[in-house]
Amino acid sequence: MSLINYYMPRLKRQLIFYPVIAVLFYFLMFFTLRWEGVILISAIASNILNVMLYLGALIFASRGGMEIDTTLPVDWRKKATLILVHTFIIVPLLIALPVAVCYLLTSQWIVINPFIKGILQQEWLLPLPFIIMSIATTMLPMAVCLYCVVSLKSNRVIMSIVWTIVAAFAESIVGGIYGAYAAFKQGIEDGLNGVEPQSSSELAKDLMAEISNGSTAITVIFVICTIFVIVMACRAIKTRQI
Amino acid sequence: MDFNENKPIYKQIVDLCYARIISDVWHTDGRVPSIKELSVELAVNNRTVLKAFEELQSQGIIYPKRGLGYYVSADAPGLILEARRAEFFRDIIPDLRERMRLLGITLADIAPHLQQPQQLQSPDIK
Amino acid sequence: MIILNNLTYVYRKGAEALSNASASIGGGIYLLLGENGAGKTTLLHVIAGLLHPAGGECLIDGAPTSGRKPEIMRRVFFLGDNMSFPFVSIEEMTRCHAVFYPTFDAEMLNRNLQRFGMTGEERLDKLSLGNRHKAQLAYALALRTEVLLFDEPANGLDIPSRQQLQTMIAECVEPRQTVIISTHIVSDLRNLYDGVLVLSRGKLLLADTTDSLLGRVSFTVTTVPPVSPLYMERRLNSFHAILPAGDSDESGDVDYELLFNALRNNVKL
Repeated sequence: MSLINYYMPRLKRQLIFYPVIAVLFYFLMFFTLRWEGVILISAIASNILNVMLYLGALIFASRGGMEIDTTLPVDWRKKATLILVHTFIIVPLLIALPVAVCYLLTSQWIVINPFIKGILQQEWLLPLPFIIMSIATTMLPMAVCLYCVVSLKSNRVIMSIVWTIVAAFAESIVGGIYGAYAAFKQGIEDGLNGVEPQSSSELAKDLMAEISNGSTAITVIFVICTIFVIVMACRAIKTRQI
Repeated sequence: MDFNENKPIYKQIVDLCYARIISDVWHTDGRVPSIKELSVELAVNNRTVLKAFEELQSQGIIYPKRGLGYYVSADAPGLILEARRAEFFRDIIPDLRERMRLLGITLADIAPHLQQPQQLQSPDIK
Repeated sequence: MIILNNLTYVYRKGAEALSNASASIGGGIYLLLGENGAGKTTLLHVIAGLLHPAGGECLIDGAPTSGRKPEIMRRVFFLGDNMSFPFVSIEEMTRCHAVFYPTFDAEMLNRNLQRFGMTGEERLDKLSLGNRHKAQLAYALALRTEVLLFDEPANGLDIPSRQQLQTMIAECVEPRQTVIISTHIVSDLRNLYDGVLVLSRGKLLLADTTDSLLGRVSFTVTTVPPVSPLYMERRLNSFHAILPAGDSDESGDVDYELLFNALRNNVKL
């Protein structure tokens, strides 16, 4: 479609960089999983990959004015579809697919440090609601970045990055508040019931269970916010003024 | 008395066409550039050139050949000379008369100058 | 055909940029005149569909430009005075952007670029302001859209380039196109204009073709002040005046500065 062709010069960079960086991090992890220090590295790697994911829509920001983009003789629905599909489907795939492929090709040779293996085998790390909440959490900053890119009138690139980071922080604050509340509640309940402090892994399991319950509420809130921001972004694409 | 220094562009284009025909840049019975070509060459609006061509056509200096463009008439040089003479008597002479009147210059004053164009000297400077 | 119906635009701060502008603008090259801050750029933005009117409407061939329907957008192109193209070169722009405009003429683009001494493969961000502007102009004219809007097109162009631009416009623009040129430098393209739009403090004081205007008034330059002119100015030794048509035997071409000053002094023409 000629609309894809129109954005392609801008998208090209992303289509190459993102997979390359994702693969680089994969191999970084591949070679460091044998050490316990990998936790720190994986934290850095996952943060960087998250930021790349959040800022996926940044590629649509034109450094100059948006006049040419705005007056392009294309139905706004097509523009919105392309931008949304790229931001929420293509960009995550750009990161996930190459990593998945590399993993399939090299999984037999991965050497995992036993301590790390122990952590990974804990069941409570990946309950389904937790995964859904993660997805919802990731989508909100992506949507915020998208909205900024299509509606800001000046300093588009910088302010989009700023607002995206603000959104991500706001999320962690909400999550942190809830986590603290949950832990507090658990602790007070246990104290009231006269329950003895448990081993740390049992405590963590209980905490995760508690968070899982509350995560539905948080997920719903984040999803509603995300949808709201996406709708605003579509409106901006339709009626943006210079 | 109006002394209009502000000659419209289309008239200036007419003058240009006169000059080109007289100097044989545009040959008698030859084709004249199209309105579009001339408007691009002079960087002037189409309509202005059209107006000039209409004026030239009404004077019989050019004529249109259907589908081929405009052509210079056979008697164009003669017509141009007449048109320029007419312009001389219509515009230049009355203006000269008026200036002479304002400056108090008489026919006698200017007669020698008209006969001897080489030695241009103001009568007061000896 | 551009139709403005009581077009009004209000800045967010509340100041009115355009108030009740109404006009019918047919084919031809129009000069848009106005003092700084009169609302010229705003008017062009509204016609281009970049701004939504606060009141009234702007129609191109019957459809409002604020609706931004593709069928209408492909008939309009706006070139601002400090615009940047979101592509690396004119060549890339042609490949990705020109396809949306069915009236685009690739040969005309090549001729235009050649006239300015460019190939189209130059990186736009490496060109000087003037050269970048020339490339943009070459491209805009080659789009051959029904409506072309230029905001200060000669900005940053040296004198030879301005002359080349004048020739280029004469060559590229057809009678079916409506070209509106907003500029402070009237002299550059003065021989090209078919009509004039005069904007002052947000009000559209005049929107007319030169033919129609000269049918109503004459512009004269005389050494003696004329009797009962509609408007008159003394410049050095001559009197520049606007008279009702017929009062003088021959009108000169439109004197845009005189026209502008007359309208700003509330003379009705």
